[in-house]
Amino acid sequence: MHPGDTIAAIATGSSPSGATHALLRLSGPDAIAALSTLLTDPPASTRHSEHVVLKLGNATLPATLMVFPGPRSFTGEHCAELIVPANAWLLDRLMHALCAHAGVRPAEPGEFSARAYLAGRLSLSEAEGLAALIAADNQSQLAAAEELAQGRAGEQHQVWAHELTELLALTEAGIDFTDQEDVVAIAPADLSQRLGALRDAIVAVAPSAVRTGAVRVALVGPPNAGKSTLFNALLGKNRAITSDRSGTTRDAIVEPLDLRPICFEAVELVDLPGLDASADGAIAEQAQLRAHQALDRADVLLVCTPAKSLDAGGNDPRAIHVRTKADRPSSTSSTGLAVCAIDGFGLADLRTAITQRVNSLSTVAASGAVALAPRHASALREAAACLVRTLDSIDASALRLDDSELVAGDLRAALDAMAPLVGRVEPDEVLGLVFGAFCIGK
Amino acid sequence: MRTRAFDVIVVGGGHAGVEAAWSAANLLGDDRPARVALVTLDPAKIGQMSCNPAIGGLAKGQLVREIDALGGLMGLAADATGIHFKMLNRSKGPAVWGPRCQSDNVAYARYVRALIAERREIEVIAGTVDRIDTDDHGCASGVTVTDGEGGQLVLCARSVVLTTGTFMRGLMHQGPEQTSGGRVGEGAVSAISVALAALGFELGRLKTGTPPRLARDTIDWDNLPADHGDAEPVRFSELTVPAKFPVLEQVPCRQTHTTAEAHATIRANIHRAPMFSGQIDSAGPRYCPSIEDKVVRFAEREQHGVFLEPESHETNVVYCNGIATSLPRDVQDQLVRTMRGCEHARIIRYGYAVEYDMVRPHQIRATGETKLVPGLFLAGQINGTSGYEEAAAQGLVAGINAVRSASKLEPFVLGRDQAYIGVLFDDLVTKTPVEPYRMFTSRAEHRLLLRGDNAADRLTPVAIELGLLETTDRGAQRKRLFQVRRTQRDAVAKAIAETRVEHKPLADVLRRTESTVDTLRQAVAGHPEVVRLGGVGAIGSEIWFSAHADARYEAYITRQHAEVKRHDSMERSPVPVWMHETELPGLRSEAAQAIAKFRPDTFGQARRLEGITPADLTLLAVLAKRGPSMAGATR
Repeated sequence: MHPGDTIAAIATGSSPSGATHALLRLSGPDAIAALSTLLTDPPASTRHSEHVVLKLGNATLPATLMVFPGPRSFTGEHCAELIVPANAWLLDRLMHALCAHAGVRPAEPGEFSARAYLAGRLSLSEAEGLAALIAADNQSQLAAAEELAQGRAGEQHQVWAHELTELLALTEAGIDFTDQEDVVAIAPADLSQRLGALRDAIVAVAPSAVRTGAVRVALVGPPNAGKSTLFNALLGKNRAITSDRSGTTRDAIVEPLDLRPICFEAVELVDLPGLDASADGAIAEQAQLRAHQALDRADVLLVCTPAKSLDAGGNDPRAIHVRTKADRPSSTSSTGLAVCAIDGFGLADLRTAITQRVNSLSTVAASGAVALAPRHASALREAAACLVRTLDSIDASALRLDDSELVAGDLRAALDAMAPLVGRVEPDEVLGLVFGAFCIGK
Repeated sequence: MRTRAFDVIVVGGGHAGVEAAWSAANLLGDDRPARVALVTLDPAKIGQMSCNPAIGGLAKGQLVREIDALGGLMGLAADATGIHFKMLNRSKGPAVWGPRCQSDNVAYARYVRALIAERREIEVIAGTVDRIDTDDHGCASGVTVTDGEGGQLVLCARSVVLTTGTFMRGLMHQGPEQTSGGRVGEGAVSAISVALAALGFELGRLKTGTPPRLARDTIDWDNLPADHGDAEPVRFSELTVPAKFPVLEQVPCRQTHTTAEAHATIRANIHRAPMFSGQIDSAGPRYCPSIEDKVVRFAEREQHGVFLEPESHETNVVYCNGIATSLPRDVQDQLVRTMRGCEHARIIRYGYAVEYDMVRPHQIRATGETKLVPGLFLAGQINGTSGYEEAAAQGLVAGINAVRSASKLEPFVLGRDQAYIGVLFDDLVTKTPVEPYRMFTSRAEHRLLLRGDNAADRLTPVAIELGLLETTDRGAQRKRLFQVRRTQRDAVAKAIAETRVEHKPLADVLRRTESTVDTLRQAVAGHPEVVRLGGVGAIGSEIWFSAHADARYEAYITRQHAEVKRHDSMERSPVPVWMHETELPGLRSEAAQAIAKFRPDTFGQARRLEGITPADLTLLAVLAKRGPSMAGATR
């Protein structure tokens, strides 16, 4: 299979200065063209980052654009990334503008990675975990979707989808069963009134709470566990000062962690001072306080324990246990991933483990009753847009529904748009409602 | 034991069977000895309309047009024998217009038999199939038949098409009375069911029903309100000569209705209705309920409409459209006599329900070929469909693929965006049917593209490419007509693109609901392209109709084309066979079950299976690329 369409997702990120920014990523043949529709001026086509001006309605907004023409990109396709302020409303509007008008759709679980793989852009070791990754990602999204469906918002979505299905059934009845004396097609005024109510209800719940912060992965463990060495190894550069001396790191250091091409979420890696209850001295105490604050804010903990020491224990659900300094003589304990930051042993496995955790986190975090994942938000927006279009095409004062096949087409599109929230409604279900409501069959 | 060899064997002479034999013959060409065997219980019954004497209707009319564009015979027979033509949904947009006719059913079957008889490459063989033969590789190799004289005959062919209709273990019900048979007065076939089960097929059972037929001279015909056909009937087939159409004298139907009294009688006898007594438990169609069903489910209704449709100029038989029933005869008598105008009506043939075996359609490909036995094709009611048009459409595709498979050519599959025929097959191979499958326009997500009026534009090029129009005079004639149509269509399209009305592009004007074909004609009358072809009058009315419809739907069609293009690369991309038989790591069990059951041929089909999420599909694509060696153990 060679995917032919263009996908988009919001990955969150943060700039070095600390102000939170978000990253909108696209991949596919129309990636660059689609993003261009949002800009005041077309971007330069070469691979670099540039400052651009976004237009949203009448407003304009500065942003940073990075263009990665295929095939020399992470996915092998044309890719583009837009860095904008991490404002939920703004992100939602951007996704909506792309999906509704520029022929782009929200990415499915694991899709960026899958494309990278299909384009041969993943090494064998990176590809090893890919199937498991997509599976886990899908599983967590399904769980999130189920959770969403069971919540109050989910019930509401079901009610809307049912109303929409019924209106479609009434419209289709007027098309497919007009030779049946029993069938009276829905009156334009009724259809218009019910659709209007539906549109208002959906628009009122403008999806807002999209996750905006990067996933924070913190390195924790006793002093001199080799956290900073691992930090540098994961980043692929020397950012933290390391030494054999315990307590070398005094302040938390935050750096963006690039896990591409297996993970496309924005991730921050945090190096914390070693946690040491016995630390004394004002500076050391301050460092410990900051370390604990940073610890509280972290989404994932890489709990580092030198391979030779005893297990750190602890059962924080955020934890991924890492046995550092695995080149050293090891104890018999086998808990945790064995990693040697010096020769790179186990690092690929650790990256995969982080990715899996990050993916499950971002979907679960985004699936709370109020916080919709971007693709869910996009689904509602798209459905609302279809309803608006449908309403525009109906003359409520007419006696008979003109162009019912076009109205039905728009209603069908609205229903399809809601599929990520309520599942796909098959034509058979629509027909079932018709058969239930009317006596069909001469 | 005699042995005969053919290229293709078609079993069954109904609407699927004749279309299969016809299209196979169209591909194979005029040849001797005959290369297509048509095996049927009774050659005199070929082309019979078992139930309603009508062809076409909503969505079904589009199917007939598609069959015609692919060189099929159904449209020819309907045009030649129609006695009441009506374009349904005329007040709606052109995409959902449904051409329908009632045919003289005696003339229809005779016409079909004549068409088959004129093809030297088709040999009709009377007999019952005892066995489906397979070779050492498990591929179809022919059938063993008991002929009319009781002798055994071995027919060999690389392709066998089964179109058994309601005859596989057909069981008719009339009240508590049960008779073995696929159609009134005819027998049933049980050997094929046994053979299919032995080959490993999973069979199902369906039910359908038919209403009583009345003697026309016992109905107070002239005092009932008439229902006339269209004053200017529209033909189904491109080949039908407009000047000689309609061929037969047109007749009106009559309308009557059931009464509260009749409903009371039905309720009082409901325990004698096989559908309610538990005698029948197989599923019947919800869109075609029996009168007892209607009375029970819509208890508040005091009457139900009934159309009295004359079946033929040559018989006295009237079809009672609206009261299909399997109630006992005495109840049918009472029921009919409560209907206005039918107080003294005599029932010539009582209504009945029939149960029959089908092969669950997840076991076929979108070509009609079974996944289990290469070379064995199924078409029509055996796949769980209902309707002459649905059957004929499958017969046509199965016949084409029967020839192609025997010649080791690529299978022929129509997409959902190409034809209702494509929607039909795709639904069959991706959904689990709950009732006999009937086509509706709402099943086609691309219905604005799949119009009856543009069937030739969509499919005649396909027919030409397949070679369906190469071997006969009719084929040559279709090609000539299509050339003319294409020239005129191109000229009109160019004229529309280059014409402005009141400073606006003509296309914008035509998009409005109130624009008509005349708006278009007038606007482009002076355009050089139109003038070059001899002016507005020299261009056929069907061309104007299609051009106007295209213009009206342009914005939507553009959007639908974009949608089609979006999925295009995935749609026809093959799912490797090993994936059907391998435990796929990471795939959710629901998705894995769907893949193992349906064994989708393409990612497009996989995408539409119930239980497959978009992420499952991504995973499948990744696994497909990784190949069987890395995907894990064999199931």
